[in-house]
Amino acid sequence: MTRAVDLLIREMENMDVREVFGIIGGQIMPFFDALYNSSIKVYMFRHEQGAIHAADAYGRVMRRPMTVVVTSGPGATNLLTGLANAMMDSSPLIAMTGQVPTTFFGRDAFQETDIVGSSMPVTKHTFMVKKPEDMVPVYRAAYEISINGRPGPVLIDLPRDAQLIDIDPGTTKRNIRVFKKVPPEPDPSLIAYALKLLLTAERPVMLVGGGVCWSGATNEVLSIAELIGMPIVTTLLGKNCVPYNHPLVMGPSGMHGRLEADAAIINADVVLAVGTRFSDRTVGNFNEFKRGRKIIHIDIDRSEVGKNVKPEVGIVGDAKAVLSMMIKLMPKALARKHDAFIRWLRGIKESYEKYRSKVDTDGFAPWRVLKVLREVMPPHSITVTGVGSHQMWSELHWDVYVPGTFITSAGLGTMGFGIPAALGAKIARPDVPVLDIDGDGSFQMTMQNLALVREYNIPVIITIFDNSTLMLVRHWQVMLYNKRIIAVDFNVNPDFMKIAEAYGIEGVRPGNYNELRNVVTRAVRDNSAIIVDVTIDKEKDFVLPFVPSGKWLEEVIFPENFKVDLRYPGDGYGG
Amino acid sequence: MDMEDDFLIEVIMSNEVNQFDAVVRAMNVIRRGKVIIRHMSIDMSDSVIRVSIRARGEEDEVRWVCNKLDKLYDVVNVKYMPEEVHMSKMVVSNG
Ligand SMILES: Cc1ncc(C[n+]2csc(CCOP(=O)(O)OP(=O)(O)O)c2C)c(N)n1
Repeated sequence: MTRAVDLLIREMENMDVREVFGIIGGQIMPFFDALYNSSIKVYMFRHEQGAIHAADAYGRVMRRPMTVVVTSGPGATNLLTGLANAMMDSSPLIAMTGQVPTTFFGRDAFQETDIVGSSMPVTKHTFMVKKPEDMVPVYRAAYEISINGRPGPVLIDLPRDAQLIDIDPGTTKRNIRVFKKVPPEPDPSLIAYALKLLLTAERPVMLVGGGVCWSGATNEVLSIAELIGMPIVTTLLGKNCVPYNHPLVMGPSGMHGRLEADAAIINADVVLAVGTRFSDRTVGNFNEFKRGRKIIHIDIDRSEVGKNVKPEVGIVGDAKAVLSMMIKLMPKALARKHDAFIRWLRGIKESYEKYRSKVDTDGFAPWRVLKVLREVMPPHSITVTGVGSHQMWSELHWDVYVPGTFITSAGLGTMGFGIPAALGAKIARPDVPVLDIDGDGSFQMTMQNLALVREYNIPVIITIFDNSTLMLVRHWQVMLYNKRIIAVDFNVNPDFMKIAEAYGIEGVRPGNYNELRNVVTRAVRDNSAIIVDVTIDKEKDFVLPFVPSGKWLEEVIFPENFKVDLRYPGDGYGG
Repeated sequence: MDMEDDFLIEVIMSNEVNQFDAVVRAMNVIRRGKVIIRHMSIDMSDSVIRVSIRARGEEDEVRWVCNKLDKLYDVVNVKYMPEEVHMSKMVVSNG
């Protein structure tokens, strides 16, 4: 006879789980006790939110779930933001929470919370393990569910008594039945119809979402776009799925998107949307988006098709499988019809870049800081962000060369994601440089987790876009609330150099771009941790272009002294 | 604007682990759908859980709710049909 929790650890070892993230507490002590002689390493975070965001990033990098283990009550409730974040961005992870013994259930015992009830709306699935012999089969099922189809977080609640009961190892062999809905084989008639729409379109455009990464469909996306000669536009998560230096990739569209990407959508008559839930942030205004455009929507999640935008053709299936079939059915010799349109879009990009290089010449401009960082960070390095203007600047100006290397909190927009996400990514890939592009507000939400940098030697590069304000909200106050600025400026911020020092990390406040370039180059070369505090002027830090919430892409607010026509003049425009 | 109609939704769920959690999870999905629930019965007496729902709404919204339910890992099967069809089937089956 063996404690259920010892059998669980043995099973995790068999499943090649090499580490867990978490924080200990009373009701999860048996689990940690069982780790005592195991091969599994524990990363002790300094806040449960940090542990779960780190697990989220780890899952995005490794495409398999990290397990986060915390205690009941506050330990468990501290996970809720992270669960919602992982759910929104379809990131796999397993959260294990200690729970009071089953005999105390519902009696408001010390540190009892109904975490299964609280987390249900923000998880892919939950399990409450009341029978000790279920513990191992439930873990196996949770692992499978987290990566099945569209990935997501799964929570397992472990009452203390169930963890401790001795059981016969033979009783844990059974499997829990989970009702997986296998995506249907792509329907050839729908694919043929979609192809017909694409091939007869005046100006087809592809919209790529995060599902393309999970499906591993980057090559198929690029092949189809090349065959048809159509531009590729992305969502914020989709930015991670295609290389920005591909000539057909126009970047993200929407609230803080690229003008050439917005223009592509504005002028499209057919949109091939792949692995996206059609966020309001990407298309702005659903009614305008639908007007005069035929939408082909491919998604593995049946409930996404028709949820926000009713498509002309909805194809439920794995993006890679559907696009592969599309490629097979594609006629071989196609006339390249859309070159003039692509040239026009790239012309918008060039004039915007030219404009940018002429302005913002004094002090640090966020977009220029990103350019310098991009030059010195190797193409395969992983970049994560906080949430705010710095993230939106990154959406606009961070060039992703290798798909899978840009990790951001897109759906939930969780400030504080950056530091733990960087730690999780570096734990996943210690050989790869990891950069966190952070805001001073976001940084302060989870900075206690910096303690892990020295404790476990996790050398990450953190740049703080330090404007002493909650800039993105300040920006909205200026633009949308008549400059009534309230509750955004930090009149007293901590000295981030001293914070760095306190955590045993080198801190640098560069005075110019060269200094910035040199310190980051050195950190990459030496694989060393560094916190770079870049002073940004809040009076100038407005992320433009900007499409206000709910507005159509054509209602974009341009940067000062810059304007382009986003309506395509037609193939004869002379471009 | 699509027409609102009455629909019958039938859900079959597994009751293998924590049967009532399966029901609450399904309710969480339904309460976020743009449909009005007019009647619901839950039968947990069997080896599976059977939920029968009469809902009013646009068919697209009913379908969305069903698709969301179908994603759940403890849901074995979901069906919906316009209530009239169901009634006429009842009549037929009653001979
Ligand atoms: C946890 C959380 N609280 C509040 C917000 C609302 N919010 C969105 S952006 C933002 C400002 C972010 O400030 P900072 O991290 O300093 O980045 P900046 O915008 O200054 O670049 C706020 C408060 C949020 N997204 N997340």
